[in-house]
Amino acid sequence: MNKTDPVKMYVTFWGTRGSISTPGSSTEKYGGNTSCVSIHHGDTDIIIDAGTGIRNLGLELFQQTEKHKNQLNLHLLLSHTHWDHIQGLPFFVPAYLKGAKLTIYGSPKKEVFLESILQRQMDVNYFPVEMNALAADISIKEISEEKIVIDSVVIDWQEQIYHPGGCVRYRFTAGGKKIVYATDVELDQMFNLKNPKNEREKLKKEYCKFISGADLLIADGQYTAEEYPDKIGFGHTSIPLALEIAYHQKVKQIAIFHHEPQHSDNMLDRLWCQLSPKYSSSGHHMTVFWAREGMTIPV
Amino acid sequence: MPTFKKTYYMNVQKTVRTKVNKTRHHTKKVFHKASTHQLSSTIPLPLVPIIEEIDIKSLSHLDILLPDQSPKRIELGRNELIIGRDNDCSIHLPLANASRKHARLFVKGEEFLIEDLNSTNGTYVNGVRISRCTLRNHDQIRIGEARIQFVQQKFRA
Ligand SMILES: [Zn+2]
Ligand SMILES: [Zn+2]
Repeated sequence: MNKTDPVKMYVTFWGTRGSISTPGSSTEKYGGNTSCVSIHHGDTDIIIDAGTGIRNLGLELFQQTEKHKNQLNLHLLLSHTHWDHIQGLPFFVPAYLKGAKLTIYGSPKKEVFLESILQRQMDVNYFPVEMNALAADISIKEISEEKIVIDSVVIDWQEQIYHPGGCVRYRFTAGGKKIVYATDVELDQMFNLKNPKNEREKLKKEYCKFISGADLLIADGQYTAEEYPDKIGFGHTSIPLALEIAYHQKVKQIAIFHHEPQHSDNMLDRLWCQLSPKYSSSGHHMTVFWAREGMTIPV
Repeated sequence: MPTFKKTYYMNVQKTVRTKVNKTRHHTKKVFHKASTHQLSSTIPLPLVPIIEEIDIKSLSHLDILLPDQSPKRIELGRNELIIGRDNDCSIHLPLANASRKHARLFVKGEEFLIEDLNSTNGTYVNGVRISRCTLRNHDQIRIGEARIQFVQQKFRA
């Protein structure tokens, strides 16, 4: 990256696809790599999720360190450990660099240690290099109840229960701006009147407060409204609902994320044409876009 | 022919495998919730070659539309282009709301990228303010009142 404004957070999408990587000419615009987003702020580098998109980020970071002769100090926050959020980790070059520092954070609310989960994906039966053979200084932390503070970025988080096995959402605050990463959650369940009222209301309130006024919300939008009824309980949100809630919470910019592998570029373009105009005209303006690999947004 | 810059080497280290189990009772004192790997060094392993330059197998151009002017077409090659209000910019935009050096367009690998140069009024791709963006066929770039369309036709030789 060129000269950057030290006050701003720069959000880059390295992988935007949900579930499984989907290469090919019909997905080259929005990208076929699975979840990975980076936030660059001052000298701080934060990565969210380690889907296959993290491979390209690793190459870029590596080229940067070669050029500037500096050592990497990276923070990787995992929303959860489904394949599409960790599978790129064994291909992340900085993990192989001596002198690089990588701190991995994840939910404490699992039956098994996060460290153990990540180690197992690099078991000799799955991958030729074991995790404890990686040259970087890697520490794995299960996040505690408090906020995480990384340099001048304050991160708070909440568990999202409407996803099989759970998933953490994160909020990054720096320079008076807020970015929320809340993927792999079935908001349709949270807003479904059939679910028990007390629990539902509490979770709804928590979610709305968390995203309220966000300068950028990266939101799960895997399904169309038409597809959703066949996907109840899969742990993902229908796009129109994600947009409506964000709009009511005065979100300034929303990136629809975790694209369904079956959705081609043409289909995503068409959905954007159908769904976004509503929010650029009426009342307050909310920028709506479909997260796209290789795009960096200043916040 | 692609030119390979150089092959980097990384150190892969081998240590005794540590088993970490989340058992509830007696081992609780031994393993903390957050634990750190202790590493030591050994064998080098070749790392990915970084491919610096490769021929672009595409015909790409920008269609530039400025207020009260007829459309202009600029063919794109490997050279970096600076877009802005300054006269010496490769793409000169005589617009009050364009910065002197507003954005740059460059090639990385086989792809074209646009990068905002901390302009005052921003660079937009399909309506989204970006700081950097890999361009795809028919992307609409907006700089002030200028409307710029990126058009790319790929081929395999
Ligand atoms: Zn996922
Ligand atoms: Zn998931």
